[in-house]
Amino acid sequence: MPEPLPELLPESLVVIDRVGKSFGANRVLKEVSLTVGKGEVVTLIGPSGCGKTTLLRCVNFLETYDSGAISIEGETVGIRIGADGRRTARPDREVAAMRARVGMVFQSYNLFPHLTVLDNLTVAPIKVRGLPLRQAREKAMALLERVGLSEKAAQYPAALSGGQQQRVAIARTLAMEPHLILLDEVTSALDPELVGEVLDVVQSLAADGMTMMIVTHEMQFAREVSSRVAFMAAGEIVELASPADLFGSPKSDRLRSFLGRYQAAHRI
Amino acid sequence: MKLTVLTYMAWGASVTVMLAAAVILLSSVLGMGLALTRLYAWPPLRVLAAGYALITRGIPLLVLLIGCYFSLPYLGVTLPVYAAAIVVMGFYFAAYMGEVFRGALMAVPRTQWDAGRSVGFRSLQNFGIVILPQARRLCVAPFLNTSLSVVKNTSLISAIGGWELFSTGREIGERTGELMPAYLGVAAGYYLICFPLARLASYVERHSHA
Repeated sequence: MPEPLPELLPESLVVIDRVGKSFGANRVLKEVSLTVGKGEVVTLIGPSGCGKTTLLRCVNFLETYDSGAISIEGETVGIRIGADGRRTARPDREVAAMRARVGMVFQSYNLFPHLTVLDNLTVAPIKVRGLPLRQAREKAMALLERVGLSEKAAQYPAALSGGQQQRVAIARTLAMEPHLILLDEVTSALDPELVGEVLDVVQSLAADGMTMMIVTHEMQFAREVSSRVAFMAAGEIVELASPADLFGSPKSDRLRSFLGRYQAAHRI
Repeated sequence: MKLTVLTYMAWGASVTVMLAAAVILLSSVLGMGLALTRLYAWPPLRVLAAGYALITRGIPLLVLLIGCYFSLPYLGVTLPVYAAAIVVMGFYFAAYMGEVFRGALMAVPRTQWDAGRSVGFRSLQNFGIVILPQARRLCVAPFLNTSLSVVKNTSLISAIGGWELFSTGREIGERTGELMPAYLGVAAGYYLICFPLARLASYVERHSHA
């Protein structure tokens, strides 16, 4: 069932409008619509393979999409849609410029292993935004301070724990002063005792009013950090509501059984 | 007497080193082109590059050297022996170097491309800043390995009349009748050239972070 067109509020930062995508015969996204307001934290939850990570990767065009449109700050992502509805690919330069305003944090951290922690934070601001070296370094040190890792500046990523690497990855993203941050299961690869330190950093970003889209399996965290939560299943958004409503009074059977399974798995 | 023999072999060895250096340089440039073509070019070109690597690696170098050097004049091309040797070996080892570079580029995780894109690098920037430096570290060992092959295979150039380290051993052996010492000397000469390369390989491997 196609969602109605989302209301185009002037403060909407991300507008996802009936986006569809297939991998071969597998329809991973079926006319998904969602808006994210400025300063909002929208969390995507759902079973593995429901399309939440794919949707997130479409937002900064790490994945292409087949139909519909995603806009960030009024600009369609990855494609241009002509007056006649014809879709043309945006050139590399425009896609890169869009990505410079959209941060992404990955499940496997993906720090640049051949660069020191400090250089991981300065390389993009210098090469993409043209920031002078000194300024980039000062900013990077301030960000490392913020995530509590200033003493690791000269280290290589391999010398850091998973939790530390993920905090550096968040700092690397912040160094570009993004308008939006996408977080893709940022604690899934971490040992349980390291999850908290990463979630604390994300929590503090939310408190500062950073707009974020988060894919996570941490339900407690989703409940605490989100403005709204979207439950996805089989390539569709099945329910979209405030965390209190979504977790407190799930409407669909699919969400009820998903939450039930989750609770059963986490009961000690 | 001993000294003149050693000096003669040292001359031969220096020719071998220069030939090997030229072949390594040429095959690296061509190999990089082959690797980039196979990975990122227009698909029909990729197939062509793959075919080149497959065919070249299936032919003995000796056959190529002799075949090209002695048949090129019939096509109106006459090259000095060293030039012909460097060109033939350069194109031959380009197939191997291409595999070395391709393997290293493919060994950089796809997630690194994602990471570079997500911070706003354009494709070429991403390749130059994120992918290439990591691939460079990964390819040092196989690159030096292939370079060792190049050094040793320059001995085949003697088959088309080029003069280098192997030739000196043969000459000394034939003139003095001391075949075994002569060829042992040649072997030692090749070893002395290759040893620093092998040491360099292990040094670089120890001092990389990726």
